[in-house]
Amino acid sequence: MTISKSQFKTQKYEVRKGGNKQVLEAFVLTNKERLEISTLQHHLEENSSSSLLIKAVLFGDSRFNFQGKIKIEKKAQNADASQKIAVLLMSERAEVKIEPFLEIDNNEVRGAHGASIGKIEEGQLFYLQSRGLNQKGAEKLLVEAFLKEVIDKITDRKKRSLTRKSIWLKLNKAYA
Amino acid sequence: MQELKISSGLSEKTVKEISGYKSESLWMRNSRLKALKIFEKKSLPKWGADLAALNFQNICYYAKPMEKQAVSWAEVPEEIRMTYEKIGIPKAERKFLAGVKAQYDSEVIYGSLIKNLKTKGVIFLSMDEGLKKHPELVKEYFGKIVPPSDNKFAALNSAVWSGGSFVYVPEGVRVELPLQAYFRINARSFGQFERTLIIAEKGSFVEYLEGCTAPIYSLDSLHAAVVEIFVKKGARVRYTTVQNWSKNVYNLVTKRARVEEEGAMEWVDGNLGSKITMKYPACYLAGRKAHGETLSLAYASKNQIQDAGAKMLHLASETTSVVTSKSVSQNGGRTSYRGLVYVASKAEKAKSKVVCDALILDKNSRSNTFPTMNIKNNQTQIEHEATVSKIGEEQLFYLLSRGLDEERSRSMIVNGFLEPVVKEIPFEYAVELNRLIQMEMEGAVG
Repeated sequence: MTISKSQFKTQKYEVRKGGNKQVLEAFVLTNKERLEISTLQHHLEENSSSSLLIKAVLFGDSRFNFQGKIKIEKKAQNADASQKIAVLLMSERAEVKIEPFLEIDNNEVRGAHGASIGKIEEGQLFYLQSRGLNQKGAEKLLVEAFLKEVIDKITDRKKRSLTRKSIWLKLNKAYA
Repeated sequence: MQELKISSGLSEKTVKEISGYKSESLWMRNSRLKALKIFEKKSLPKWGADLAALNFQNICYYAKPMEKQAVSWAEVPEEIRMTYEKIGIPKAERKFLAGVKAQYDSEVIYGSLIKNLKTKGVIFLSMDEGLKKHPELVKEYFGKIVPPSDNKFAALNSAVWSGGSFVYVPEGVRVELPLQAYFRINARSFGQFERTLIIAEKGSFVEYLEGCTAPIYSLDSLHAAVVEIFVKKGARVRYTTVQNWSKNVYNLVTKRARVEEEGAMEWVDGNLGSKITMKYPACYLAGRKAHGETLSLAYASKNQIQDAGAKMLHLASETTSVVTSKSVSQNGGRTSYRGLVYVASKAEKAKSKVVCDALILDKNSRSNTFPTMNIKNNQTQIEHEATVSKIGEEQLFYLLSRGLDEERSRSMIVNGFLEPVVKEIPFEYAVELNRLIQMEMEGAVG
């Protein structure tokens, strides 16, 4: 997906009876880009399921604000909702704010979320460098590996290839 | 004893009278008045539980120590009397806890402990006495971590505080036995506006315990306490609270610790009672390698809202924090986890892990999770996990197949769910806690 200097996106996903919604997003932010995303997985009726997987890689002075809400209404028996956010901070000046919220009104449900924020593992970087890659090359490879989980899950072939391309372009920009 | 005439409601006059009755120094009196002005200007928080029903003018802001709750044993609600019986509270303690007896005779039992502490230079007094006997020490720390401007209820507490503990542990001293709020002779352990200040000098260790699993019958509808803790270099403090206020009480507490280099602070927070509790024990990890931990347990039953959590602010490098929150809601109760993990831009190599699990026992109950992670440094490792579910069918089936009835099975599973936090609570409390939860679940099988 393309991001201009500053972007704010709100996505609401209403999941009804027997419905299933899967959301997959991968972002690479460079320079002074700012991205604010607010999502809502709203379970209104029974037997609905949703999953959200967002991975973001932040370079330069970029900022990522994510507010993801899972709301399971009283009528939504057997709802199964999950959310996973993972962020890689590639520069000292990048900043991230994550607020994964859960509002659950029914007990016959499964609601879960996980978030992790960090940098590239030193051990992995060292390993690749010892195999002859320079710092940039090693980092780039690890970032691609990090985002791969999202890309692999995209079922639509066209969309998958588009996502892969745009990430590749962005990474080139970051390491230019 | 002089005649006490305190005007009702909250005003500058009330505050002056309170300060006058306590014969306080000018410094504290002015501090109270300043705080009152801040309180009047501040608005209620726009988040959290709905506090609109609180009427500040209807509350009594000070009561004579010996006549705190002029209630006869017969007037104490049946459920509370029964609970004491069932969870095995000794007869002598029951009347005290119910506010019927004004003073628990702890002198005989704990007198020698107090003597021992004195020889080590440890100060353990009520906050009022601490202010009188060590004014310079108190002045140095009072209000430095939780200023009155922090929030409306901190301002209220700063204006009308009374009771609470003052603890000072000198450098290198380890206090082996946990200090308990009701060790203090002539102190009302369960005051409305307690102010507690704990100072642990370099390399020291102290554990402080407050509260009781047995329901505290309180006529007062508002409890707004403030706890400030200073953990100096290499020191360690553990503060355990088990709260079970009666279900008419608004329990709005600000608890915060400032942790210096290589210091460690552990909050163990058990919330069982009250109508509404809003409490988020916090650690300001201000020195390199400082460590903060919050273990939170919340149980919400009918007409209860437990809005609890933790705040960890990483302000220095190599700081670490762990938050474990376990909540259970049943019978229409509502639990919320509200937390913050903040890593400042200069806090290199910070690590934090938050795990919050919620169990909703029936269709009428609710659970929310509102964690915030605000990270400004990339040399960091932040993890957060949360799950919300009901009692697992397979677990239940297993216990039923072993001959336990449904009620017993369910309460066993709930106790197992809460175990990671309960095991950090001192043994006697833990036993009472388990029995209490079992009781809560009796007759509440959905």
